[in-house]
Amino acid sequence: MKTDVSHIARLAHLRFSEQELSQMEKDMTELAEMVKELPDPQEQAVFSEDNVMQLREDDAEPMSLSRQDVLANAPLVQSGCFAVPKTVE
Amino acid sequence: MKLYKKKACELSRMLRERKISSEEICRDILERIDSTESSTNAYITVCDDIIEHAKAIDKAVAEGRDIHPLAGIPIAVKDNISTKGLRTTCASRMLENYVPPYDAQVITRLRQAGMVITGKTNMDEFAMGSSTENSYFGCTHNPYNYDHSAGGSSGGSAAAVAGGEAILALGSDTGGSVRQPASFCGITGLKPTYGSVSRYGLIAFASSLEQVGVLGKCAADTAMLYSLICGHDSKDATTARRVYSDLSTGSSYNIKGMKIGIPEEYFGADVSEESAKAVYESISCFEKMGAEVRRISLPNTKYAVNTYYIISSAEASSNLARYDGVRYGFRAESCSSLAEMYERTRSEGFGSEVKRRIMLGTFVLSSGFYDDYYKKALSARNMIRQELLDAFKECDIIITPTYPTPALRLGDSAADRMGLYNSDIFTVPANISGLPAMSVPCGMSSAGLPIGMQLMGAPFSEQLLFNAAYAFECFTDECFAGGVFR
Repeated sequence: MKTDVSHIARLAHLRFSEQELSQMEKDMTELAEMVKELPDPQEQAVFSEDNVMQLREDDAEPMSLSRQDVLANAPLVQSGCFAVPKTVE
Repeated sequence: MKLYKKKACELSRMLRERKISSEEICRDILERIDSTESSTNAYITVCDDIIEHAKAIDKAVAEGRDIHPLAGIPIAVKDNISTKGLRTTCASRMLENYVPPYDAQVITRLRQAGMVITGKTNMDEFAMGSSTENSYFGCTHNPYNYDHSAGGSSGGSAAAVAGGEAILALGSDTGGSVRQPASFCGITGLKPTYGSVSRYGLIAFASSLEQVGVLGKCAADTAMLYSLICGHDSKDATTARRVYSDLSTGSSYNIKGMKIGIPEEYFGADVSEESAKAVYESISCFEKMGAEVRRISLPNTKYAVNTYYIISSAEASSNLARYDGVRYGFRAESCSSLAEMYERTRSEGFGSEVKRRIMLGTFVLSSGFYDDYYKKALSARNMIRQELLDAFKECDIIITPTYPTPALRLGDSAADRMGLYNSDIFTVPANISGLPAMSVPCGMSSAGLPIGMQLMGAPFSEQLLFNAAYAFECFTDECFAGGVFR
């Protein structure tokens, strides 16, 4: 089965040269071989009640990071916001 | 004797008895870093405030204040663990200048205990690799032989401890990335039970597989550090709500009657003769100590590598989607559209191994392939886990080689990527199953390279692993423990 690696690259927001894409296709084929060796899916395991992840209460807590902290690593900041190339005309 | 050669437990005692100061320890470490770093490349960033922190601990001691047993001890931190105000790169161009605005939970615990962070260690980019050759900052060299790898992905942390550039280190282990470098560098490395150490602040690769791990020169050192960092954290919902005993107060070295399983699937033709011999000889030490050794079979082991690579790549593709050049990290220049910015940022910011795994992960999760690939791997995961849990009804611990061979020569792994992936077969089952596993040095090859054995246990059985490791060290007069200074 031929894999559409160009489509996968678009989904992953990555770009490759023709040579790299050709290598990726070989890698996907190797992966397909990996999967063939796995057994057919069994019934899903049932997890015990005491192993269930407990979420904390949905209570708002004070902000731990200031706006300045959050923007400190941004490549480009304008008017206190993250700035990116224009998305709409 | 130079203090960088000593273990954490010895230095802790000497500090509290006021025989030495933290400043003296840290100056020795800095001197060692100065003389060795150009050969090992263990660090990406060395801190410039080490002595200042050491002096603060010495002041506390002088004032008679109670200090934590690990206060004043220098520790290196793998560069995928967030440290507030200190560059954290994941060894990637993508985060080359990223400075976290917060500490990981494990770092908060180190700071509360008064440990002295020496710096951030080298690793495979985003923890994807087994040799620390996939780093944007160059590879790390094994302190035993600079032509050889220190392992990966926590190669920098392992090399730092083994070579005296740190007394202890934190790493992370997703498929063996603490245990395998520990094995290559002749030190002890623990991957804890999944859920026993908070992942808050650990920059994510594969969230259901990884744990922060600990590296030290011996079992006691590793136990002290594990006891400091384990525990429930409200900021990581996958941490278990349980009370942990303090394992740092000393392990029992009486393992008479301990039931040890030896799985035949882990001693096949792929294991080097020297590695197998070292592990078998170590197993006979356990028998001499009164443990009961029994052969077991774990046939689902053959699915482990494939299961691991499918699941970890899938999770990586999701976790690394956040690197888009918008809020932090690298951004490609002169992009005319948002789409171009995303694509060029990610293509230029990530290395080739990271991009390969993102592509694999995207593929297995994509429409039309999800059921056949990802769901099949999840089912295999359950089978592997259940088989191991059943084995632990009959055994207390399982012993295997950590890796098929001693440390690889640098450059060798690039030629055989699938071979490199397949060599993770002994370590990935513990990640797939969420079980604790530790590498303990147990021999040396004829070429002078360390060999490690892996001890694996049932969930939350770290105490048994430490008992076994400590007993082995006592029985063998610690002839394999201690890194290059053993």
